[in-house]
Amino acid sequence: MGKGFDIVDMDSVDIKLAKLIGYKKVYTRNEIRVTEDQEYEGRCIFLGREPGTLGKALRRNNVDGIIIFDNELIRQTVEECRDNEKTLFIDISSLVVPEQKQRLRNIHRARFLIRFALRNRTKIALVSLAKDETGMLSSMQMLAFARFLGINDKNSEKIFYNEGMMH
Amino acid sequence: MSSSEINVEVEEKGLLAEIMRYIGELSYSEANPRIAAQYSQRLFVIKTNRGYENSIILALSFIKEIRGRKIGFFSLKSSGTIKSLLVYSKKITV
Repeated sequence: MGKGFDIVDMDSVDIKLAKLIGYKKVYTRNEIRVTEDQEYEGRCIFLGREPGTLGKALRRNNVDGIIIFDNELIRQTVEECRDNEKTLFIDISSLVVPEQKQRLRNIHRARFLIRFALRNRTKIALVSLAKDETGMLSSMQMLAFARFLGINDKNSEKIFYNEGMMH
Repeated sequence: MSSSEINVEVEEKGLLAEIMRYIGELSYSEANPRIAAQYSQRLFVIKTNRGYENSIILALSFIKEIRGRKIGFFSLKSSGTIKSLLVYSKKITV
């Protein structure tokens, strides 16, 4: 049985592949959408960079959590995320981009953001948000990524997106 | 496991060069990764020195292209013996 859930930015995912790479289920964009649209009414993860819009999104029921654009550390938003019991998602696809300079900057920022979120007891989850099959990662790779981003062994088991469960 | 079919005998150099790109020459020489077996067109085993398995797993996550061909890799299992991986490979269908 898989360990948790992953979310991808694709229309469909082979269920066999999802099980094989170690997930209970992989959500597609038809189920959970990553959006910048503040009016979107379906189940979604809100992507934004402004503390104001992120704060508003966190108070909406259809928003599962947020992704901060470029993994920038916005302390106020991370704290609001904790207070509203929403998840702070870390987009792994932005950490494996081909361009080295951008990749290193994103990794550094993600580390910083995760460290702050963990210290503030904010629920975090790593998601691949892959645009195609090559961008997906197995649960084992996700765990390796968690350790690489500075999450200790005790917490790294909890980095998968778990529906309805507190981390 | 790769996202599409790969002949690791042909692509071995390219794959190992990509791993070296991500883990660096020093770590690469210490890890000494090599292809140990290929069980199907998508399933194969990478052998590495003890203690470097996480670096290899992570490096495989970054590789999205080999010699201009788009490809991704999934790490399915790590083990101390190749025999147990062979047993595992028979249980799964890839």
